[in-house]
Amino acid sequence: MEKKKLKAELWDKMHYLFRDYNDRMVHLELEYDYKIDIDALKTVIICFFEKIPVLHSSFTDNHISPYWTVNNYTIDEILTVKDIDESDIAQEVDSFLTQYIPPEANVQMKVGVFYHGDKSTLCIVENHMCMDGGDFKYFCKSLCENYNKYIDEKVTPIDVRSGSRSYQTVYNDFKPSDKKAAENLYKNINKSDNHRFPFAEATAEDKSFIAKRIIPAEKFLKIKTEGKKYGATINDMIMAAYFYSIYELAGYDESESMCISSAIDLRRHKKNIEDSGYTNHTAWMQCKIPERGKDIFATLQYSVRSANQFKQDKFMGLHGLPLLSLGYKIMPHAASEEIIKIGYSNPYFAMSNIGILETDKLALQGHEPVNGFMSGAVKYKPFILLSATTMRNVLTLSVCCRGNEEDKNIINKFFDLIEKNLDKLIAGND
Amino acid sequence: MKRIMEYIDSSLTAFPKSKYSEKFRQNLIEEVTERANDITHAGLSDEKAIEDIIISEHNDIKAEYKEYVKELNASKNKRRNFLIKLFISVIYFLTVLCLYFVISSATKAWSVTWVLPVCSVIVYISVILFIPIATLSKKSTLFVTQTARLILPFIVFNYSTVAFLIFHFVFGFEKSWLVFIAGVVLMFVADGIYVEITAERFAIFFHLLYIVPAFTMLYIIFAVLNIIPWGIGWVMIPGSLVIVLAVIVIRLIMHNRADNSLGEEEPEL
Repeated sequence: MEKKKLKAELWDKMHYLFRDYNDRMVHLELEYDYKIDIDALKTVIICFFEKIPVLHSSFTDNHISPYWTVNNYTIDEILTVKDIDESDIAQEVDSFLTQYIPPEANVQMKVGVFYHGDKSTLCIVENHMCMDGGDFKYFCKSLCENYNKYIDEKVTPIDVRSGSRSYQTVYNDFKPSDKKAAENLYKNINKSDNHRFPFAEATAEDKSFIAKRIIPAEKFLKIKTEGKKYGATINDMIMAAYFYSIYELAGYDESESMCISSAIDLRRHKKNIEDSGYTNHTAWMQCKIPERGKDIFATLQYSVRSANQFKQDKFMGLHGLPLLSLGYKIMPHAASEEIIKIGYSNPYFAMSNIGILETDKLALQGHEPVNGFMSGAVKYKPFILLSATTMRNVLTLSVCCRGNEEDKNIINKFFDLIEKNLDKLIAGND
Repeated sequence: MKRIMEYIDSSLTAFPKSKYSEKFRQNLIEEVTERANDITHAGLSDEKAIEDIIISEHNDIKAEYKEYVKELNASKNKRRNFLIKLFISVIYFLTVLCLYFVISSATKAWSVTWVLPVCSVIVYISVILFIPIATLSKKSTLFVTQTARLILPFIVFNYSTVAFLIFHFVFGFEKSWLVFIAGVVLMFVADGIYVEITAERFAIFFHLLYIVPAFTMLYIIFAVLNIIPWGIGWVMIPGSLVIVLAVIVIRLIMHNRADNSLGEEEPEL
């Protein structure tokens, strides 16, 4: 029987194009004080894969028009289960999370369950071409909900969203006049920035790693409260600390202007996502400050002003889509890629605030995860992406990077500076 | 699988038993069996879950059956249409051949009558070329629709050649080469109509791009045929800019009307 083929959507192609900048993997780690029922999890995973065919498809980079081919698979290709000593868990999880799934692989998602004592750590890695952080979070909540229903009520876990993966679904809830206007926003939104993160020189020993920094709940709540005084969101506060820390770390002159791209979820334009398939709906909001400012509070003001300018735009994040779509339509894929590469400039500094990981929705059999985080792709130097997730008001900042020990030290120093600057923001401007 | 079989049978009870429904049932059973094997191979052992997955994929078997019958009929029609076209083609060429021999024998003008079979072949090829245009134009990829668009001038060129052969060899018209210049104008016209019909996004730019060169060609044709004098006729070329302007104004008015009609929406509840 001939294998089924799926259309490669605009964002699938775009994320494939990002192969020069990152490894396209999205990572999730959740730790439970509970032993996950592997048989139930296997059933849920297979049912989900059956309902979301792109997860067991391989991407074909056809020069004219790329596509996904739906493959047969076995659960062993997806799920890894290991019993680990408590002392080895961190290394095992790190090694699992930093794996790379090639787009040509049979499956596009890997799940790992690591038992250590009475605890389990659930790790999931997936190809960003299939879905972004927003949908991945939704996928994980759905996975947990279906797992619980399957064990408690024997309900077959097929309550999964399915539908169009097209980028155009973001226009579905617009008024016809707004839809027409949004579909005609032919604008190249890329802004180039000459600054670079001060990574060490690349070496042959460079490998993928995830550096994390945990900001405790009490500090996070203070950041939130203090932010309100300045009209700043959590995102603005982290962004300001990010800006200031880069100036300090790299020693850039305070009069220089800088730009950090922040990921925005385009689902904000949709009233309901239940009728859409799992896909990517993410764009960049370019936060630009004219100078560092005399202190972190001045940087915060600039960040808030820049972010607010973006938020006032009712077509926030939609400006580059028609141009990208046109780029892929007018020529064969191979030629389109080359043309888009000329016009596209990947942000050297980026931030993705993935948001709250809701423990109640990620609970398995009433056991809420005790720790966890989600992070974006492993970026190749000189690109850097700071991911932020919160769980029970604990903020986890993470940077996934392909580098060496020296890079790890630099990133840890960067985290120290971010923490220091967040502390300054909390302390106030008195 | 017993539950799936019952589900299939109960869904098909709404339709009278026929060889169609039996074939559909057999195909469906084969398909769901293969699907169940694939899911089992993936590692799922819970039979109820396998059945639920398959049933969720076939939640409207009645509609699937109707679609199947529709496709069968379409396939039959396609085969019938192909045979009709083949029959018409054979009749066409036989008629042309007969006419060629009859006319040639009657007039003894063998040096001229060869135009008839040659033109007939060119016309036949041009008609056949409309098929890929119609098929490719339905695709959403711009690259593919542009390929269809490229075939169009080729067809116009074919017809120009036919016209040239007739004017030159049959009527002995001295200035028959003008047909090719007229052919270029027709290429512009054909492409302009094509971009309008297919609602191409940048249609207006093509219209504007074609107007001045088309009028230049018309100026040459009219002047060579002494319809207009060479000395004053060139006014046609800058004059065509008026038409360019008119096209822009008409397009703007249409655009504004479309925008206004989009604005007339029902208030949100």
